[in-house]
Amino acid sequence: MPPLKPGWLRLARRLQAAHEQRVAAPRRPLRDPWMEASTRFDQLTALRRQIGKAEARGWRLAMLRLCQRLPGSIRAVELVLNNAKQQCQPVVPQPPPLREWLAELHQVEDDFGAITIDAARLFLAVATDPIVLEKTSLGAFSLRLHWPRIADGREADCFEIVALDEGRASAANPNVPHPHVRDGHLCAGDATAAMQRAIGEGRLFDAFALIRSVLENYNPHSAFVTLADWLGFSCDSCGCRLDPDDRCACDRCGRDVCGECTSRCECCGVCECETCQGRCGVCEAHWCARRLVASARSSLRCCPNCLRTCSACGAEVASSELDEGAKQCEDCRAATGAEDDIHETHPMHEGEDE
Amino acid sequence: MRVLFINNDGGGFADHIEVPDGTTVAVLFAQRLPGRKPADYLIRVNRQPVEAEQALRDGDRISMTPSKIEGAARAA
Repeated sequence: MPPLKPGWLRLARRLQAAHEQRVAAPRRPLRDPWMEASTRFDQLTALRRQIGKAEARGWRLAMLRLCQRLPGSIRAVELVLNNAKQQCQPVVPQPPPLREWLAELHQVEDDFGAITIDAARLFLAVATDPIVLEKTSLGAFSLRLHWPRIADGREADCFEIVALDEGRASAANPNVPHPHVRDGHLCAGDATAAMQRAIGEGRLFDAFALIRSVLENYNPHSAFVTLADWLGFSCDSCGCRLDPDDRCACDRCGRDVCGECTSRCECCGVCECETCQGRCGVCEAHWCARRLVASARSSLRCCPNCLRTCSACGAEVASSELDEGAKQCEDCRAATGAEDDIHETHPMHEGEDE
Repeated sequence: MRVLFINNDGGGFADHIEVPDGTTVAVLFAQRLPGRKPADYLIRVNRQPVEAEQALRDGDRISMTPSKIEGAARAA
């Protein structure tokens, strides 16, 4: 074995001690993973129900957006079931001997470069190379293993991911330096179970390698902030910058807009942007464009509540275009007025033909 | 011969397995990860990078770790 670096022997002993405490600790109850699995499955069921409703109502764009969330929701169910399966393991691996911990440290250093040991904050750290995902440069990251958390059995929370390069975090959320990292916590997705197992068995290098594999890959279906929104989200209508949580989508055209630029149809509840939405030309209420009807006598579009029927010709016109007294449209009123003029100019006497 | 095989794909697997004498790294990979590409994995024997045609020996420690894994974000 290569010569030991300063502090490595002490570090290896601390890692071994943390692992021994973990083995000696009572096993956590299985209740939490099963409850979380039930919750995730309920969320998946609700999502499928929403997709069905959108499809039945012909809201194609809304349905497409909901379908895009489906893989992430299914994956969430898979993850919690994998976690539950892990906790069902009947055997807890024995802590590796000291020489294995030292071998792990050597392997980590060979692959990642220098290991930093922070004796005050109780973590060991390595750095990745600069990471670029789909032409978005995220910089390098420090992967920090907080070894006391191994003793607590908190394999999923042992690692802290810290960006090393300033100014690369998402403009939409500064706490997200990487699409799958928020507030220092990596959501390892498909690597979760393998990573937990690696930590539980003292395979440090494997755990670090798995984290790096997640950081060097991009899953657009399940990201804290997608790369499309990395530089921030802009409303397509007014151009203002917003957090992804404040963003709405037009149910008609699918454009991303802010809450100020959307309105909900009072009849059917569809959310529309300013471009797609209609407004009654009489009462000025917001209605989805399909429900507005053009007046037969002008270009005015109005809601069903403001449509009236001319008592003379039967045409449907806006209420503002109907004479309140005669209940006639403008054309019919004009025609009636012309006939009255004719009768005044040339009054008919009894027995005369017209 | 008996080797320690660590598969970090999926849920993770680490256990001793029996393999025929003369089994190479490439053959073991094809058996244990069928349909996958070796270029997509970090493969180490006794913690060292190796050639695909290297023959395994009794007591070897082989690990295979995917180099691209999909992360996630917890639902709100």
